[in-house]
Amino acid sequence: MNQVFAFLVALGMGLALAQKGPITIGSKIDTEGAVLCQMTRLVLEANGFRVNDRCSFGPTAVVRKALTSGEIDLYPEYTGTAITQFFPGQKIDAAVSRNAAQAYAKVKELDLKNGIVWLAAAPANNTWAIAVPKALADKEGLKTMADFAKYVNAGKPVKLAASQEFVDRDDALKAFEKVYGFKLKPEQLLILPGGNTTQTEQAAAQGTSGVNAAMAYGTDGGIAALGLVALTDPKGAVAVYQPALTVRKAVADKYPEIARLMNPVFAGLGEATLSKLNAQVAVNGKNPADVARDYLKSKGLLKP
Amino acid sequence: MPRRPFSGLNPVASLAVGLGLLTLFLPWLLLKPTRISPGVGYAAFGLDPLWAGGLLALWLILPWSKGARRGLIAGLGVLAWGGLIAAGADRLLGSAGEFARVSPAGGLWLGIPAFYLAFFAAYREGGWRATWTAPVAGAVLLWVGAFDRLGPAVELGAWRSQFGTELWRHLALFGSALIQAVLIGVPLGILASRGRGFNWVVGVTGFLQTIPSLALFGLLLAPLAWLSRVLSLEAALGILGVGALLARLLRRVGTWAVLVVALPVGLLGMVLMGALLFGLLGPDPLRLAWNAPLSQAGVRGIGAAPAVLALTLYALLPIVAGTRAGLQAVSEDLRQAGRGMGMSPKELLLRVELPLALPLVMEGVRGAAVLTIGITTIAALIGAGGLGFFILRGVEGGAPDLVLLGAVPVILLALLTDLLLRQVGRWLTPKGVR
Repeated sequence: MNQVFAFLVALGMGLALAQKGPITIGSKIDTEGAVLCQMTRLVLEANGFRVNDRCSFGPTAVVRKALTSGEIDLYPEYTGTAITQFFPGQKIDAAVSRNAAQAYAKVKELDLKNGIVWLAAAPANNTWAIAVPKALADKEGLKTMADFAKYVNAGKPVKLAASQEFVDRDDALKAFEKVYGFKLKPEQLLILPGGNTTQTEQAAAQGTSGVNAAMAYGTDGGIAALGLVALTDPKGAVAVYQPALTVRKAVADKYPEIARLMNPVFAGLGEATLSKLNAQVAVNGKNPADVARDYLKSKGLLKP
Repeated sequence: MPRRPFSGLNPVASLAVGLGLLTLFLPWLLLKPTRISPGVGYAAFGLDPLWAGGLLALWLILPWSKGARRGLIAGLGVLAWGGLIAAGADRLLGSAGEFARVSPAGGLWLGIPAFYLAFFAAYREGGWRATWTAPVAGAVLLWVGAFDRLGPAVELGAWRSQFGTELWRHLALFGSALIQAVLIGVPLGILASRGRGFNWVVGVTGFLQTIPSLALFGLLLAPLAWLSRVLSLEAALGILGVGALLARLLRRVGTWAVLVVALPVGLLGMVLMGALLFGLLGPDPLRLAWNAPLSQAGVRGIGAAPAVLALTLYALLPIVAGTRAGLQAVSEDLRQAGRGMGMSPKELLLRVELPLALPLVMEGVRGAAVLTIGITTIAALIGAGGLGFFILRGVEGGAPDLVLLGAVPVILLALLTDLLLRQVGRWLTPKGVR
């Protein structure tokens, strides 16, 4: 009887010690955010954390505010988003934002003053890109943005579907136009207000209103599925968007093992890997949690 | 005189048949290589000539029947409609790739109002005995899984575990907001009916409805997060008690002095009540601790607390307006009669005015309920979940099937709520007024 009791006490203590947290994790409402958020949840839970799953709960502004006000403890964010949106008072050199390492270092340094710690970034660049139908790319030999500029300057038909933001911002379409030397006329643009890349890519794939080019992100899962190809940006015209976990400093200090656990996971997430995982969710319709679990198990980051 | 062949036709049934025949020429199903790709439409006869032919025959004989016979034919039509969908989806998916999807299209959707009209015509002729076939046919289709291979059902398969939770959350958010809106809106409506001095009540609730939800969430996030950190449950209850007392004392000074105290304290009370109601009704466990920060009790800048608060504010207008209209419609003669019997103002309100106003109050509640079921979809924007989660994810991901997985249950819930509250309204109406 005493042994049973002692066992129960030991078990209870063991459980109490093993349960760390709770850690509240969140993400934006997009495919990649959901996948990264679920990976974080699974790894932390497997290592004895209690996790509050608030994945996919709002747009950038809401999620960031939730982090800085302590509503959530961590969420995946992009270096490029931070540089362009989170430090309005700072004048950041455009060259810094286009260099992955420098951009990450700058963001890490600046955000620490807000009490936010950036864990290691994934070696992927989910930046702005322009995607065109594969048939058009093959016919006209379009591979890079330089080819696209040549195509546009030759006066051949082009119509780009994009969000208002993509057209207005200095570091998106305007940066492409400046670096590669072309200029799209207003009638060559189809603006989808509040449009996201799935909508623009669908427009280009269907040729809606003559659209044959689309705003896209580097790691979008839908590009290949919709029969498009993303044009490369060899001159680095636009800012780098590397995903990384942003953690409240109080939490990062209390649980240093979060960084130790998550950094190896993010280190394995290259562009090709991320877009493959995104495609499983966005194109094949799988649940982000299942996709994250299968991936982590296949890499030995989660015990099968 | 020879009888003209079309003279005896029921106009409603004719409209149903017209619509039903039209559906046969529209695309019923879209075949897409993946869930986000553009689709190719297939019309009824291209999917399965046998089922389509059967459906065509049933539509053609529908006008020449009446009452229960018409109901039976319409019921068989619903079965043929479902059979065509199932057979068509099987055929399209049979030769397509692993990730191909079949989505419902115009012809399939238009069939629903067509059958609704057909059953309506049968109901007018034969009452409920003519329309029992409608629920039976629907249940048979669900039981044999006629829609199981359609896109939204496939999405449901991928999200099954979340779907139950989100549906529960949706109902809990809706229920918390509606209960709270009734508890606040009816007294406000009574206040608003007391003379011209209180017209501003309706104005304020109307103004609340004009605030965009996303803006409201943005405004609420920081103050709620702050409250959730600095106040404990006992401190919050203390503030509520002191506030109520203070408001009572300040009544002598004037309405505005009361409002200065009552508004912030009332908002705090609403936040607390909303979070507790949701904790009781919802799937997330409720932990109450007297001296822990309020965030433990569910009051947070994100999640259910701001969502329930916003939904409550949006639901106030119909309830306040309904209550006020109901009370103002009570005739002065009846009030005089009550006073003549020696009733105090309180008795007059509870025993004469409110019972007579109840049908209009219930109309307001019904309006608020149907409205709230729909706009609860915005709760997903602030991390509170609900069926809006699927709509938002679907729009973001360009997957119309996922949008439908969120939207169709919302529509069904709204119709069901409407039906239920109509019935409740009938029960609550005093016999003398009926």
